[in-house]
Amino acid sequence: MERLKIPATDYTPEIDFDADAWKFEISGISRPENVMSVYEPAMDWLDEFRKQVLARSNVKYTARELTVNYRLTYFNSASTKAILMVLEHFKGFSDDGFNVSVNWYYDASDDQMREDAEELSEAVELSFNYYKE
Amino acid sequence: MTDKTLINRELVLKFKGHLNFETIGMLLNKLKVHFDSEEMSLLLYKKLLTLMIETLENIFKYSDNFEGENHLFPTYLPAFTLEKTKNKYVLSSSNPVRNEHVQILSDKISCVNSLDGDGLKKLYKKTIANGQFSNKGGAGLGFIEMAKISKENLKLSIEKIDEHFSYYNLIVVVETKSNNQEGWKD
Repeated sequence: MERLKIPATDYTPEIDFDADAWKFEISGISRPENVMSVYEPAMDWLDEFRKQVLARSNVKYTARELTVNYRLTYFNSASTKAILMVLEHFKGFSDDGFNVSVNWYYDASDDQMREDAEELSEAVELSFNYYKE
Repeated sequence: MTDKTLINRELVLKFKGHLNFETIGMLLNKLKVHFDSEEMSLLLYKKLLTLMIETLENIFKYSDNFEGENHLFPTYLPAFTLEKTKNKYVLSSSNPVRNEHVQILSDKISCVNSLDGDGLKKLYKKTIANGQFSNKGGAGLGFIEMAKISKENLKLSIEKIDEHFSYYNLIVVVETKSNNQEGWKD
């Protein structure tokens, strides 16, 4: 499956989903003019990826891990719901028995970002690993 | 009655006019210039950035409601100011609102003002879990986010313009030093 690579702009994050490496990264700033225009392609890609993975029975329920890296420096309240919706896609993999590792990287001085991430983690019922940078 | 906390204010930013996405970006750049010129912690800068984005995006997302209502302008054009006192930053935003929306706005602000930190966290979680996007992408979190950051009541005032519109003003205050800011370095 083709890698999804959407470059960052001043207002939108970089999205880099690698189907071969099972590595999924969202980084930068998120305050788009139209939130869904940014996150809908990511969710559509994940739906397709999940369909392809589940169709390969030898891959299903193996120990292979999905690595999800968030490196957001800022996201506005309008982005919050969309970020949660993307996380719910990864929760779907977890519910299917895959190992999902969500790594949340944030500026060491940004307590607010850590707090926001913890609230997302609780809302999606998926534990995050937190890393100060 | 004069609010003594607002005496000796330094005007940091002032804007009056119609807002679009690019204008918001321009105002945020001016905040960055202010941050670079002040001895301000990154934490305080991010609080101000968040409050500015939420207040300005509220105006922008609501602007369809008063577009073309030229009798309102220039008197009741959208307006934003950021002022600094000795201990606080004061953000003030104004724009026309339809009279039928005044009570909804007032109820939302009364709700967040009635909650303490834990109550706001619970409401935030409930809203991100259940909230829907509005037509313009709002998720209903803006006032909650503002109240979480400000730690003071949001101050709403409404001036009736005519039978269709009122002029909304929201003041949000953030302390330049907060209790959880101890040990902070730029």
